Amino acid sequence: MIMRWILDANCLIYLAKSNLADFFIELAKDPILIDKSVYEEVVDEGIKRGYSDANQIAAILQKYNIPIIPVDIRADLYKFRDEGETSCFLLARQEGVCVTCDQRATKKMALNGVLGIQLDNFFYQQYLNEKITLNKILDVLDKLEYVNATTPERKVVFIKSIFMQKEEK
Amino acid sequence: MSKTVSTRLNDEEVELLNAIAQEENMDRSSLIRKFVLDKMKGYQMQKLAKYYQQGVVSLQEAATQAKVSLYEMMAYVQKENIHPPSQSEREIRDEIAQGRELMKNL
Repeated sequence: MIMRWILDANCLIYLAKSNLADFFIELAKDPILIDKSVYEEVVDEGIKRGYSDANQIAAILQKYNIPIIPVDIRADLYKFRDEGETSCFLLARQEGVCVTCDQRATKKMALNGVLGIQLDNFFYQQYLNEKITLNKILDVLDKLEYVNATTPERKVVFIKSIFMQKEEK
Repeated sequence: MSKTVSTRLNDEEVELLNAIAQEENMDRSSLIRKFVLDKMKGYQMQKLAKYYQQGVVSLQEAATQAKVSLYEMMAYVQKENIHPPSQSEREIRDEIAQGRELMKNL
């Protein structure tokens, strides 16, 4: 089944901060989409305010031809109280999975019947599916923790799971 | 439209304000405005970061409600070492299991 990965604003910024954007895109076999309001917030506003991450994100989106989709959010804005989150919800509702680094956003997506996954878990699933090595997943978790894209407690559980799984094998 | 807001300061405070205005090469009124706006922004960020820490809002919502960019809010929570609410090991393991199901269906 072909799904679409919908990246929210904080996921995009954390991918840039951790230098994992290229790696994420290589691993995500299904199409990746960005909503226009997320693009405007992360890239346009970011560049205007002088954030170097914004230039990096613009270059990556261009390099991989990632489509920027305008979404009419007016009818659903009240559910999320934020333009970017609402548009991710609407895009993910149409055969998509929202990728975020935010616990609260993941919970809200689930409550509204939309698939969501946190970025650290996305990479961990790639390890479970043997798409990335043990050293690589440990490196990815370090990088995500360093930029605040995951919490120390989540990292500990992922590492425990990795070694429990190895012991079982 | 802007409105004039007045407040009272004692002589010592006014003296200090004048000295800072001179140092910053700003007129006193602009300096007061800058200080008040900076403090209001800081207050809003601190309040919303607390809500984020309690799991009441997402980081994105916190930024929107504090009227700052997501970049600023991210930098603030990182600097202040603010994290979302703790999750139990069980919760994280459930999330991993859900992720596994999701990946299977792709």
